[in-house]
Amino acid sequence: MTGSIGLLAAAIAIGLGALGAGIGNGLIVSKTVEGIARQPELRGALQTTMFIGVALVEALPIIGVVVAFIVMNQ
Amino acid sequence: MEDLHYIFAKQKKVLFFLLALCVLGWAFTPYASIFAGIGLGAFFGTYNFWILVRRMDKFDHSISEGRKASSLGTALRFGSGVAAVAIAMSLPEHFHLISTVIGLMLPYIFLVIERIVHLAKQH
Repeated sequence: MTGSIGLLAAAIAIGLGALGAGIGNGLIVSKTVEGIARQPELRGALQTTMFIGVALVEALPIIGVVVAFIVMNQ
Repeated sequence: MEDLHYIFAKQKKVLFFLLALCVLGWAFTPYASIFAGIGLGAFFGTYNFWILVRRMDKFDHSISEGRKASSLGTALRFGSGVAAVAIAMSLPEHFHLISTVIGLMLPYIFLVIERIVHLAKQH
């Protein structure tokens, strides 16, 4: 059973991870939409790059959430 | 969006190959829980990619129709990562925890390797 400090630590870790993922995804999607607005014919390539970018940006926050969950339940 | 689905189709092929290897390792080696953990993590990692592909398609439709863009399903992907680890923690004799986390990240490593190989083939 985790104490209150442990729960707080897990919550902060998950919150900061979500913040990082949100900011990263927001930047990626905004640049993609801007690129599509400038050159609609490149939509396919831009969205493929966006997919790769979003996947990689979210990898570390997912690890953070997983580690926070593990620490919270040990 | 053919390229996106092509990437995901390759991810699925690699996942099936990896799952086959994990089944063989689980059945014939003394490290059954490690291979089971890798398989479980890789399955959930590929599920994360599937969610992202579906959300990207919805995003594509909403942009082309000029509607407000839908969300990218980040919370669902976080939740599936936690689900994989929750299963591993509730069945520790069957699934090794660290290998589950490694398996969760394997699809991302495959994605990077596949893109590098694709770029190398183009040039």
